[in-house]
Amino acid sequence: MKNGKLVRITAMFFALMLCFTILSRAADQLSVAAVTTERPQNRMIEHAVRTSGKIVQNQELAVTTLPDQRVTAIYVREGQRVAKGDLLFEVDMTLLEEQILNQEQEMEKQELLVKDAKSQKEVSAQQRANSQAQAAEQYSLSTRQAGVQLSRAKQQLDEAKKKLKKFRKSVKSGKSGSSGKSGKAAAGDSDVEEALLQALQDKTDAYVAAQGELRALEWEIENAVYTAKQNAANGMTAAVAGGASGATFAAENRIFTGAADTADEVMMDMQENAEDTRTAADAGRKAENTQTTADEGREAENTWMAVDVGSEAEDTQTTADGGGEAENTWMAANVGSEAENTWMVADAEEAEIVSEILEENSVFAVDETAADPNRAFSGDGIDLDIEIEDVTEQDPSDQSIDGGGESDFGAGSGSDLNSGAENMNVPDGNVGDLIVDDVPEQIAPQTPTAEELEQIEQTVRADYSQKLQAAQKKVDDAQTEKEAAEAALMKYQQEQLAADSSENVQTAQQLAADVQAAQQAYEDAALAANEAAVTSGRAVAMANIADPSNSSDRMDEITYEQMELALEKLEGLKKEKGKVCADADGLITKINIMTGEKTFDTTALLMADLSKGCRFTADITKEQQKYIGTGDLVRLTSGDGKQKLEDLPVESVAADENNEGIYHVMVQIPEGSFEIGRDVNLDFTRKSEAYPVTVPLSALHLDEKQQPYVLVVEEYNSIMGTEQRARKVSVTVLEQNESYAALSEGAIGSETEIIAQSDKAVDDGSRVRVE
Amino acid sequence: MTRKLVRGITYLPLILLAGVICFPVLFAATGVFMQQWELEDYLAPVLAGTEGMAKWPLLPHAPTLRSLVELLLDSPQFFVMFWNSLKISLCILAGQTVFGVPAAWGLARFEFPGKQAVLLLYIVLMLMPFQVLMLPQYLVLDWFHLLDTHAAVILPAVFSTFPVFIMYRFFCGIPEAILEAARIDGAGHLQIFFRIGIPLGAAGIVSSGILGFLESWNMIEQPMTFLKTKSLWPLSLFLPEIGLEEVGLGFAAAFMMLVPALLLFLSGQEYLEQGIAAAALKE
Repeated sequence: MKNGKLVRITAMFFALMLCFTILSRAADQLSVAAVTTERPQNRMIEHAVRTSGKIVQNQELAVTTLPDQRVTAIYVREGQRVAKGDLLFEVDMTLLEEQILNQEQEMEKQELLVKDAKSQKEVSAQQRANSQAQAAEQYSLSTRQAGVQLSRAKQQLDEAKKKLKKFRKSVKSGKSGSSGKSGKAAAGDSDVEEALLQALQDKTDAYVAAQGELRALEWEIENAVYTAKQNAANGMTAAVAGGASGATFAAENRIFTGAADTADEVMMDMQENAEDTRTAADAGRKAENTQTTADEGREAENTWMAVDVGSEAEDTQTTADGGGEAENTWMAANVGSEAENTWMVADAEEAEIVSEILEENSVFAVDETAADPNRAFSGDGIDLDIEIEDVTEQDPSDQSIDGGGESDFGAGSGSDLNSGAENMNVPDGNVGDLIVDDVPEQIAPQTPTAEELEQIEQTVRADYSQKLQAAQKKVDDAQTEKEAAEAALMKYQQEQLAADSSENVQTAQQLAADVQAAQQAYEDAALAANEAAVTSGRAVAMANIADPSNSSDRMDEITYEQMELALEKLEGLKKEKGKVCADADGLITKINIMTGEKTFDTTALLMADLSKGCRFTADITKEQQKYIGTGDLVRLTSGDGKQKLEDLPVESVAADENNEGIYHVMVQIPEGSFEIGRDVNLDFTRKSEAYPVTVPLSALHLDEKQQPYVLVVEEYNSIMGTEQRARKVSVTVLEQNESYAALSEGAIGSETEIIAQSDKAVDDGSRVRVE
Repeated sequence: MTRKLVRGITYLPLILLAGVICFPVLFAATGVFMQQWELEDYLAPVLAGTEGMAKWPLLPHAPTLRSLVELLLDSPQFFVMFWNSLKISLCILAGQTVFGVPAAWGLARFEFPGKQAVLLLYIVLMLMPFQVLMLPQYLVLDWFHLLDTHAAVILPAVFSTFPVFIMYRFFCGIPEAILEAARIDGAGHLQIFFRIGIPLGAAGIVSSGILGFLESWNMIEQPMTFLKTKSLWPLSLFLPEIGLEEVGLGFAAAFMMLVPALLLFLSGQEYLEQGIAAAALKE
């Protein structure tokens, strides 16, 4: 091979190598990604919230009209703006007038119903008043009758005693004439007999009192049983009435036991119920008629005070046409008549029972005494305390009667009758307790069965059994004592007789027997008077039981009032000539009525109240919701961009209840800025704190594990010389928006060149060329 | 006939031996035209450590120029190293020519005291392996701040003793009579060196140049030791960078590396043979 050829080959070879060098470099450069880099910057991350929404009204006004009206014309359409007073729609006048007429007729009917019910009620009230009055009348009649009989028996007894005394005196004076010594002894004998008689008298009185007490207790038990049963049966009603009715019954109980006066009870009634005062007044009027005899000399004005204490005195006065005075007079009369009659003894003794229970009272004491100021009665001090001021002083006749008897009263046992409602206590509080405490328990079963009623009765009776036994025992004891006293007297008299001369024995025996008989008669009369008082007292109490409540008249009245209201509305519409106008400036948003159709009970028209302003409302995503909150100042721009409102505070941002991830943002807009229904865009930018390392979002990548990383440019030595390539650096994103991401410091320094953009896909290790 | 038979019997083992010796060249040549997967298949036991023995077919299964094209068009690194190698080799050759030829002429043609000692030193230095000289060279280059430059590779090679020794032999072979004649004709030292010495010693110069080129072309330790910057590396360092994944590229690169050396060898074959013969005739 020639050298020249070899040299050419060698030259060609090197030329080729040179070409390939250039070609390969060119090819290599094509594969290298050209990148632009950025250094991390210190900047704030801004979050822009952009959304579009609508302007809606703040408040909607409902335009309503009466139901069942025919619409003749509608003058507005949806979306129309109306001013206050603008005509909205019209209803048919003919139909309206017809309805008014109908309504008026219905009301007339209702009015008649009301009247009927009222008169019904009045009649029943009148009837009740009458029966009460009758009972009261009966009470005074029977007690008075009994009183008269009792006084007669007393008189006879006294006469018999006098005769005996007289006879004794005559016998003794005869004896004393013969011998002074024996005369002295006779005088001593007479004293002994006197004392024995007095003892007998006392025992008899005690016996009668005990008997009366027993009766009263029996009646009290019956009443308590009745009350308890009634309450159990009434259930709810009784429970509601509660303590009040309990107190009423208790008060009545008190009156019954006392058998003292209907006046007390009338006062009670008046305190409980104003309406009852009329009845009481009626009763009083009746009483006046029957008690006129005792009325003399009493000044009605003074006694009136008693009523004034616990009742609506003026009402009573007017309704009774001065009957109030009469009534009070009657009450006082009761007292007076009792004072005049001996039956009062029984009353007074019963009153003693009261005094045992109620000791605190003593407003004023009316001193009463029997017509005969006999020493036999001197022990009976009777204090009648019925809140009547100083009846005695005002009553000269009484004063005169009192006479010498008055001095003895202080030593006597005091009996207080108290009629103050607040002092009305049930003995041992049994009845009251039963009513107040037991009734609520009995509400649960609506109507108590017979067994339950039986049980209630048993309970009440058991409560009283001890008292009853005590009363019975007292009666028995009193009787025994009384008999013992009789026997003692008898024995003494026998001795006396034995000692006396035989000629006088016959007469003395006769006289002693007379006294004995009179004594018996007196006892019987006292018992009879007692019984009469209790029996008629019961009748009065029964008459006072209130009628069942009847509210039908009031209910009818209410119906009438309702109809009146409906009519007023119809008339109002008629007055407007069937035209319905706008109440305020607004925009019609919805029409529910149709021409020719009848109106419903619901809203006829809906309109936006322009005077209440309007607001912007839009939906935002959960992501956006993070960056906007109440109070943020936003910018609103109209859809066409012509209108702009700056710095409006966000009123609220609230989650949609139905769509998860959707939030409503609301902004109040100033009046007159945007029209209702308009499309408006909202802009808001939330600026974060300044971050030292922020990179463009294009520089941030996610690896296959969704971990964020950036690519930094790194120089390295290669065969080709100093080259640049990308290196992956994992980072932590603190915050990011659409264009920037804030990274935690450490992984990247502020001098690091970060690949922000590249013309080819760049991976970790890719050769790059920074442009 | 018998003669021919004897010659044939004699040639057969020689041909077989020649085949064995040529086999690596064939190996490299066929590898260039093999596909990457084929190469991986054959060489995996050696390069990837899989089981079995490496094998090599005489001809590729699916011949392709893909590796060659890839090397020539897609590997600019190869060319950087190629030109680096060429630069280093040519610089060394030039340096050796400039400094080595006069040194060899001086040693061969001038008589001065201590000449034998210098020659002995040359031989000793020539026989020393690079590993022995590496550290002193490194320190010296560091002092001169030449590390990591091509000069660090070139300068030590320029002052290498081996080419001086080869040319010394050639220059010694020039008859003294020719030099005497030149001197009589009035030629000075320089005239004698350029007009007589170089033309007559050209075979020595060329053969030492070829040997020097081959040595510097294949030089591995020096650039590996003194060059840190990859862009300065010669082609000899390209192949160690090749792994199994790029073994096709490696074959192509090896092939391309062979070409200049082959061309140079072919063009300087005559001189080289003379030079080797001259070395063999030493003393």
